[in-house]
Amino acid sequence: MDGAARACTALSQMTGMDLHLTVDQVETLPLQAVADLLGGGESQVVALLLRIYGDSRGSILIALQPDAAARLAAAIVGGEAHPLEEMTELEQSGLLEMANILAACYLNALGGVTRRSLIPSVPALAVDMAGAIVDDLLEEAGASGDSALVITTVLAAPAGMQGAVRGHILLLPDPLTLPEVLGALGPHAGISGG
Amino acid sequence: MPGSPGAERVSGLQPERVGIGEYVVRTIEEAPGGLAIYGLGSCVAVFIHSSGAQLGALAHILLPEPSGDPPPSGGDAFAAIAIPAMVEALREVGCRRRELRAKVTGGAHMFSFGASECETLGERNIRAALQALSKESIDVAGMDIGGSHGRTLVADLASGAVRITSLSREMKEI
Repeated sequence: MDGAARACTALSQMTGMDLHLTVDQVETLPLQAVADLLGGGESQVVALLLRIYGDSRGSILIALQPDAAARLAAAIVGGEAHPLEEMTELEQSGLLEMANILAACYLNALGGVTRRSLIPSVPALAVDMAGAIVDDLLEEAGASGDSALVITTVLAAPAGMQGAVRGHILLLPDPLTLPEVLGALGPHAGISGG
Repeated sequence: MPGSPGAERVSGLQPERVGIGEYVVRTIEEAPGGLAIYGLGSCVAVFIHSSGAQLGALAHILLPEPSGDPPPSGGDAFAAIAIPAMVEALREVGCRRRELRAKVTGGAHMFSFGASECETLGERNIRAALQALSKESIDVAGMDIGGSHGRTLVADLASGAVRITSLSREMKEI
Protein backbone atom coordinates (compact mmCIF):
# COMPACT_ATOMS: atom_id res chain seq x y z
CA MET A 1 0.00 0.00 0.00
CA ASP A 2 2.16 2.81 -1.18
CA GLY A 3 0.07 5.75 -2.31
CA ALA A 4 2.79 8.33 -2.07
CA ALA A 5 5.13 6.27 -4.23
CA ARG A 6 2.41 5.80 -6.83
CA ALA A 7 1.53 9.50 -6.78
CA CYS A 8 5.17 10.25 -7.16
CA THR A 9 5.60 8.06 -10.22
CA ALA A 10 2.55 9.65 -11.85
CA LEU A 11 3.81 13.14 -11.08
CA SER A 12 7.30 12.44 -12.31
CA GLN A 13 5.81 11.16 -15.56
CA MET A 14 3.64 14.28 -15.88
CA THR A 15 6.44 16.73 -15.25
CA GLY A 16 9.56 14.93 -16.40
CA MET A 17 11.04 15.93 -13.02
CA ASP A 18 12.54 13.58 -10.47
CA LEU A 19 9.95 14.19 -7.76
CA HIS A 20 10.02 12.68 -4.29
CA LEU A 21 7.32 12.48 -1.66
CA THR A 22 8.22 11.81 1.95
CA VAL A 23 5.81 11.47 4.84
CA ASP A 24 7.48 13.80 7.28
CA GLN A 25 5.26 13.93 10.34
CA VAL A 26 2.00 12.66 11.71
CA GLU A 27 1.33 15.04 14.56
CA THR A 28 -1.26 16.96 16.51
CA LEU A 29 -0.58 20.68 16.27
CA PRO A 30 -2.11 23.76 17.85
CA LEU A 31 -4.28 25.48 15.21
CA GLN A 32 -1.86 28.40 15.11
CA ALA A 33 1.08 26.19 14.16
CA VAL A 34 -0.53 24.90 10.96
CA ALA A 35 0.13 28.17 9.08
CA ASP A 36 3.67 28.26 10.47
CA LEU A 37 4.34 24.90 8.78
CA LEU A 38 3.82 26.65 5.46
CA GLY A 39 6.20 29.49 6.26
CA GLY A 40 4.10 31.75 8.53
CA GLY A 41 0.83 33.65 8.34
CA GLU A 42 1.81 36.20 5.71
CA SER A 43 3.96 34.04 3.38
CA GLN A 44 2.60 33.72 -0.12
CA VAL A 45 1.68 30.15 -1.08
CA VAL A 46 0.02 28.51 -4.05
CA ALA A 47 -2.63 26.27 -2.51
CA LEU A 48 -4.72 23.44 -3.92
CA LEU A 49 -7.52 22.24 -1.68
CA LEU A 50 -9.67 19.12 -1.92
CA ARG A 51 -12.38 18.05 0.48
CA ILE A 52 -12.64 14.41 1.44
CA TYR A 53 -16.06 12.77 1.30
CA GLY A 54 -17.26 9.22 1.82
CA ASP A 55 -16.93 7.26 5.05
CA SER A 56 -14.74 9.96 6.65
CA ARG A 57 -14.48 13.70 6.14
CA GLY A 58 -11.43 15.91 6.02
CA SER A 59 -9.28 18.03 3.73
CA ILE A 60 -6.14 17.71 1.67
CA LEU A 61 -4.08 20.85 1.11
CA ILE A 62 -1.19 20.95 -1.33
CA ALA A 63 0.85 24.08 -0.65
CA LEU A 64 3.68 25.11 -2.94
CA GLN A 65 6.16 27.94 -2.75
CA PRO A 66 5.36 30.40 -5.57
CA ASP A 67 8.50 29.70 -7.60
CA ALA A 68 8.05 25.94 -7.18
CA ALA A 69 4.45 26.21 -8.37
CA ALA A 70 5.53 28.18 -11.42
CA ARG A 71 8.15 25.55 -12.31
CA LEU A 72 5.78 22.64 -11.79
CA ALA A 73 3.04 24.30 -13.84
CA ALA A 74 5.44 24.97 -16.70
CA ALA A 75 6.75 21.40 -16.56
CA ILE A 76 3.24 19.92 -16.63
CA VAL A 77 1.95 21.87 -19.63
CA GLY A 78 5.31 22.39 -21.33
CA GLY A 79 7.13 25.67 -21.81
CA GLU A 80 9.23 28.08 -19.80
CA ALA A 81 8.58 28.87 -16.15
CA HIS A 82 7.52 32.48 -15.62
CA PRO A 83 6.31 34.59 -12.70
CA LEU A 84 3.19 33.48 -10.91
CA GLU A 85 1.27 36.64 -11.83
CA GLU A 86 1.44 35.57 -15.47
CA MET A 87 0.26 32.00 -14.87
CA THR A 88 -1.96 30.93 -17.78
CA GLU A 89 -5.31 29.20 -17.51
CA LEU A 90 -3.71 26.08 -19.00
CA GLU A 91 -1.04 26.07 -16.29
CA GLN A 92 -3.69 26.48 -13.60
CA SER A 93 -5.52 23.46 -15.04
CA GLY A 94 -2.22 21.57 -14.98
CA LEU A 95 -1.78 22.26 -11.27
CA LEU A 96 -5.40 21.27 -10.55
CA GLU A 97 -4.88 18.02 -12.45
CA MET A 98 -1.76 17.35 -10.42
CA ALA A 99 -3.81 17.87 -7.26
CA ASN A 100 -6.38 15.35 -8.52
CA ILE A 101 -3.74 12.68 -9.06
CA LEU A 102 -2.00 13.28 -5.75
CA ALA A 103 -5.26 13.23 -3.81
CA ALA A 104 -6.55 10.11 -5.52
CA CYS A 105 -3.36 8.19 -4.76
CA TYR A 106 -3.32 9.35 -1.16
CA LEU A 107 -6.92 8.54 -0.47
CA ASN A 108 -6.63 5.12 -2.10
CA ALA A 109 -3.78 4.32 0.22
CA LEU A 110 -5.45 5.79 3.28
CA GLY A 111 -8.77 4.16 2.46
CA GLY A 112 -6.98 0.84 2.14
CA VAL A 113 -5.33 0.93 5.55
CA THR A 114 -8.37 2.38 7.32
CA ARG A 115 -10.85 0.22 5.34
CA ARG A 116 -12.93 3.21 4.43
CA SER A 117 -14.15 4.62 1.18
CA LEU A 118 -12.62 8.07 0.80
CA ILE A 119 -13.58 10.24 -2.17
CA PRO A 120 -11.92 13.56 -3.07
CA SER A 121 -13.88 16.60 -4.27
CA VAL A 122 -12.71 18.54 -7.30
CA PRO A 123 -9.73 20.70 -6.35
CA ALA A 124 -9.80 24.48 -5.87
CA LEU A 125 -6.85 26.82 -6.34
CA ALA A 126 -5.90 29.93 -4.36
CA VAL A 127 -2.77 32.07 -4.26
CA ASP A 128 -2.59 33.98 -1.00
CA MET A 129 -1.19 34.25 2.53
CA ALA A 130 -0.56 30.93 4.32
CA GLY A 131 -2.63 31.99 7.33
CA ALA A 132 -5.64 32.84 5.20
CA ILE A 133 -5.32 29.55 3.30
CA VAL A 134 -5.41 27.33 6.38
CA ASP A 135 -8.42 29.06 8.02
CA ASP A 136 -10.85 26.97 5.98
CA LEU A 137 -9.08 23.73 6.86
CA LEU A 138 -9.22 24.43 10.54
CA GLU A 139 -13.00 24.63 10.56
CA GLU A 140 -13.59 20.96 11.32
CA ALA A 141 -10.59 20.70 13.61
CA GLY A 142 -11.53 23.86 15.49
CA ALA A 143 -15.11 22.75 16.02
CA SER A 144 -13.89 20.00 18.29
CA GLY A 145 -10.91 21.58 20.00
CA ASP A 146 -7.92 23.83 19.65
CA SER A 147 -5.60 21.47 17.83
CA ALA A 148 -5.54 19.65 14.51
CA LEU A 149 -4.12 16.34 13.38
CA VAL A 150 -1.86 17.00 10.43
CA ILE A 151 -0.10 14.50 8.23
CA THR A 152 2.68 16.39 6.51
CA THR A 153 4.25 15.15 3.33
CA VAL A 154 7.13 16.96 1.69
CA LEU A 155 7.18 17.18 -2.08
CA ALA A 156 10.64 17.81 -3.42
CA ALA A 157 12.67 17.64 -6.60
CA PRO A 158 16.44 18.08 -6.65
CA ALA A 159 17.73 21.33 -8.09
CA GLY A 160 18.13 20.38 -11.74
CA MET A 161 18.06 22.65 -14.72
CA GLN A 162 14.65 23.94 -13.69
CA GLY A 163 15.59 24.53 -10.06
CA ALA A 164 14.44 22.88 -6.87
CA VAL A 165 10.79 22.25 -6.11
CA ARG A 166 9.53 22.10 -2.57
CA GLY A 167 6.04 21.91 -1.21
CA HIS A 168 3.91 20.49 1.55
CA ILE A 169 0.89 18.23 1.45
CA LEU A 170 -1.23 18.46 4.56
CA LEU A 171 -3.95 15.96 5.30
CA LEU A 172 -6.41 16.99 7.99
CA PRO A 173 -8.81 14.18 8.84
CA ASP A 174 -12.07 14.84 10.61
CA PRO A 175 -11.38 14.71 14.39
CA LEU A 176 -13.98 11.96 14.81
CA THR A 177 -11.82 9.63 12.73
CA LEU A 178 -8.49 10.68 14.23
CA PRO A 179 -7.72 7.72 16.47
CA GLU A 180 -8.51 5.32 13.67
CA VAL A 181 -6.35 7.13 11.13
CA LEU A 182 -3.48 7.55 13.56
CA GLY A 183 -3.64 3.90 14.57
CA ALA A 184 -3.67 2.76 10.97
CA LEU A 185 -0.80 4.98 9.90
CA GLY A 186 1.55 4.72 12.86
CA PRO A 187 4.40 7.18 12.74
CA HIS A 188 5.58 6.20 9.26
CA ALA A 189 3.52 3.22 8.21
CA GLY A 190 1.09 3.00 5.33
CA ILE A 191 1.96 5.98 3.21
CA SER A 192 5.57 6.51 2.37
CA GLY A 193 7.57 6.64 -0.74
CA GLY A 194 9.78 8.65 -2.99
CA MET B 1 5.21 37.17 11.44
CA PRO B 2 7.74 39.64 12.84
CA GLY B 3 9.16 42.29 10.56
CA SER B 4 6.22 42.59 8.20
CA PRO B 5 6.14 45.88 6.32
CA GLY B 6 2.44 46.41 7.08
CA ALA B 7 3.11 46.12 10.78
CA GLU B 8 6.11 48.46 10.80
CA ARG B 9 4.08 51.35 9.45
CA VAL B 10 1.99 51.82 12.55
CA SER B 11 4.53 53.15 14.98
CA GLY B 12 7.88 51.52 14.34
CA LEU B 13 7.14 49.20 17.27
CA GLN B 14 6.40 45.52 16.84
CA PRO B 15 2.69 44.78 17.33
CA GLU B 16 1.56 41.90 19.51
CA ARG B 17 0.22 38.91 17.57
CA VAL B 18 -3.18 37.48 18.44
CA GLY B 19 -3.40 33.77 17.58
CA ILE B 20 -6.34 31.77 16.21
CA GLY B 21 -9.06 31.26 18.80
CA GLU B 22 -7.68 33.90 21.19
CA TYR B 23 -8.58 37.39 22.27
CA VAL B 24 -6.41 39.84 24.19
CA VAL B 25 -7.22 43.05 26.08
CA ARG B 26 -4.39 45.61 26.12
CA THR B 27 -3.76 49.23 27.03
CA ILE B 28 -1.55 51.38 24.85
CA GLU B 29 1.23 51.05 27.44
CA GLU B 30 1.02 47.26 27.29
CA ALA B 31 1.02 47.06 23.49
CA PRO B 32 2.45 50.33 22.12
CA GLY B 33 2.88 48.74 18.68
CA GLY B 34 -0.79 47.73 18.58
CA LEU B 35 -2.37 44.31 18.12
CA ALA B 36 -2.00 42.27 14.95
CA ILE B 37 -3.34 39.26 13.08
CA TYR B 38 -1.25 37.95 10.17
CA GLY B 39 -2.99 36.11 7.35
CA LEU B 40 -6.71 36.22 8.03
CA GLY B 41 -8.90 34.18 5.65
CA SER B 42 -12.39 32.95 6.57
CA CYS B 43 -11.63 33.85 10.20
CA VAL B 44 -13.01 37.14 11.50
CA ALA B 45 -11.12 39.75 13.51
CA VAL B 46 -13.18 41.85 15.92
CA PHE B 47 -11.44 44.89 17.42
CA ILE B 48 -13.29 46.71 20.20
CA HIS B 49 -11.75 50.03 21.20
CA SER B 50 -12.25 52.68 23.85
CA SER B 51 -10.94 56.02 22.60
CA GLY B 52 -11.20 57.61 26.04
CA ALA B 53 -9.04 55.02 27.78
CA GLN B 54 -6.79 54.20 24.79
CA LEU B 55 -7.27 50.51 25.25
CA GLY B 56 -8.93 47.77 23.32
CA ALA B 57 -9.44 44.10 22.68
CA LEU B 58 -8.80 42.08 19.53
CA ALA B 59 -10.33 38.65 18.90
CA HIS B 60 -9.28 36.16 16.19
CA ILE B 61 -12.46 34.16 15.64
CA LEU B 62 -12.49 30.83 13.77
CA LEU B 63 -16.14 29.76 13.89
CA PRO B 64 -19.61 31.21 14.56
CA GLU B 65 -20.72 29.08 17.51
CA PRO B 66 -19.85 25.78 19.15
CA SER B 67 -21.61 22.63 18.07
CA GLY B 68 -21.46 19.03 19.10
CA ASP B 69 -21.01 17.18 22.30
CA PRO B 70 -18.83 17.38 24.34
CA PRO B 71 -18.32 21.12 23.94
CA PRO B 72 -14.87 22.05 22.63
CA SER B 73 -12.11 23.32 24.89
CA GLY B 74 -11.17 26.40 22.87
CA GLY B 75 -14.29 28.48 23.55
CA ASP B 76 -12.69 31.74 22.46
CA ALA B 77 -12.52 30.40 18.89
CA PHE B 78 -16.28 31.10 18.61
CA ALA B 79 -17.90 34.48 17.94
CA ALA B 80 -20.82 33.70 20.24
CA ILE B 81 -18.45 33.07 23.18
CA ALA B 82 -15.44 35.32 22.53
CA ILE B 83 -17.36 38.57 21.91
CA PRO B 84 -19.40 38.62 25.16
CA ALA B 85 -16.25 37.56 27.03
CA MET B 86 -14.16 40.39 25.63
CA VAL B 87 -16.87 42.98 26.29
CA GLU B 88 -17.05 41.73 29.88
CA ALA B 89 -13.24 41.94 30.17
CA LEU B 90 -13.32 45.53 28.88
CA ARG B 91 -16.03 46.42 31.41
CA GLU B 92 -13.93 44.92 34.18
CA VAL B 93 -11.10 47.33 33.36
CA GLY B 94 -13.53 50.25 33.58
CA CYS B 95 -14.94 50.72 30.05
CA ARG B 96 -18.60 51.60 29.57
CA ARG B 97 -20.51 50.03 26.69
CA ARG B 98 -21.42 53.33 25.06
CA GLU B 99 -17.77 54.41 24.69
CA LEU B 100 -16.84 51.17 22.90
CA ARG B 101 -16.66 50.96 19.09
CA ALA B 102 -16.08 47.78 17.09
CA LYS B 103 -14.34 47.18 13.78
CA VAL B 104 -14.86 43.92 11.92
CA THR B 105 -12.44 42.46 9.37
CA GLY B 106 -12.04 39.20 7.45
CA GLY B 107 -14.60 36.56 6.57
CA ALA B 108 -13.17 35.89 3.13
CA HIS B 109 -13.98 32.92 0.91
CA MET B 110 -10.56 31.62 -0.13
CA PHE B 111 -11.45 28.54 -2.18
CA SER B 112 -14.23 28.39 -4.71
CA PHE B 113 -15.47 24.91 -5.59
CA GLY B 114 -17.90 26.23 -8.19
CA ALA B 115 -21.47 27.49 -7.86
CA SER B 116 -22.95 27.02 -4.41
CA GLU B 117 -26.04 28.43 -2.79
CA CYS B 118 -24.67 27.82 0.69
CA GLU B 119 -23.56 30.61 2.98
CA THR B 120 -19.76 30.41 3.20
CA LEU B 121 -17.89 29.95 6.47
CA GLY B 122 -16.63 33.54 6.20
CA GLU B 123 -20.19 34.85 5.78
CA ARG B 124 -21.41 32.80 8.74
CA ASN B 125 -18.53 34.13 10.85
CA ILE B 126 -19.37 37.73 9.95
CA ARG B 127 -23.07 37.25 10.65
CA ALA B 128 -22.33 35.67 14.04
CA ALA B 129 -19.86 38.43 14.96
CA LEU B 130 -22.32 41.21 14.04
CA GLN B 131 -25.13 39.47 15.92
CA ALA B 132 -22.99 39.10 19.05
CA LEU B 133 -21.93 42.77 18.87
CA SER B 134 -25.53 43.90 18.45
CA LYS B 135 -26.59 41.77 21.42
CA GLU B 136 -23.88 43.46 23.49
CA SER B 137 -25.05 46.91 22.23
CA ILE B 138 -21.65 47.73 20.74
CA ASP B 139 -21.70 50.04 17.69
CA VAL B 140 -19.82 48.90 14.59
CA ALA B 141 -17.68 51.82 13.35
CA GLY B 142 -16.00 50.14 10.38
CA MET B 143 -15.84 46.96 8.33
CA ASP B 144 -13.61 45.43 5.67
CA ILE B 145 -15.13 42.03 5.04
CA GLY B 146 -15.67 39.29 2.47
CA GLY B 147 -13.95 38.88 -0.88
CA SER B 148 -11.56 36.08 -1.74
CA HIS B 149 -8.27 37.50 -0.46
CA GLY B 150 -6.34 37.10 2.78
CA ARG B 151 -5.72 40.06 5.07
CA THR B 152 -3.17 41.15 7.65
CA LEU B 153 -4.33 43.76 10.11
CA VAL B 154 -2.81 45.95 12.77
CA ALA B 155 -5.10 47.64 15.30
CA ASP B 156 -3.87 50.90 16.83
CA LEU B 157 -4.80 51.27 20.51
CA ALA B 158 -4.35 55.07 20.48
CA SER B 159 -6.62 56.01 17.57
CA GLY B 160 -8.70 52.85 17.21
CA ALA B 161 -7.72 52.67 13.53
CA VAL B 162 -7.31 49.26 11.88
CA ARG B 163 -4.85 49.09 8.98
CA ILE B 164 -5.37 46.23 6.54
CA THR B 165 -2.84 44.90 4.05
CA SER B 166 -3.24 42.18 1.41
CA LEU B 167 -0.85 40.61 -1.08
CA SER B 168 -2.66 42.03 -4.09
CA ARG B 169 -4.29 45.23 -2.80
CA GLU B 170 -3.51 48.70 -1.55
CA MET B 171 -3.33 49.23 2.20
CA LYS B 172 -6.70 50.21 3.64
CA GLU B 173 -7.61 51.88 6.92
CA ILE B 174 -10.92 51.66 8.72
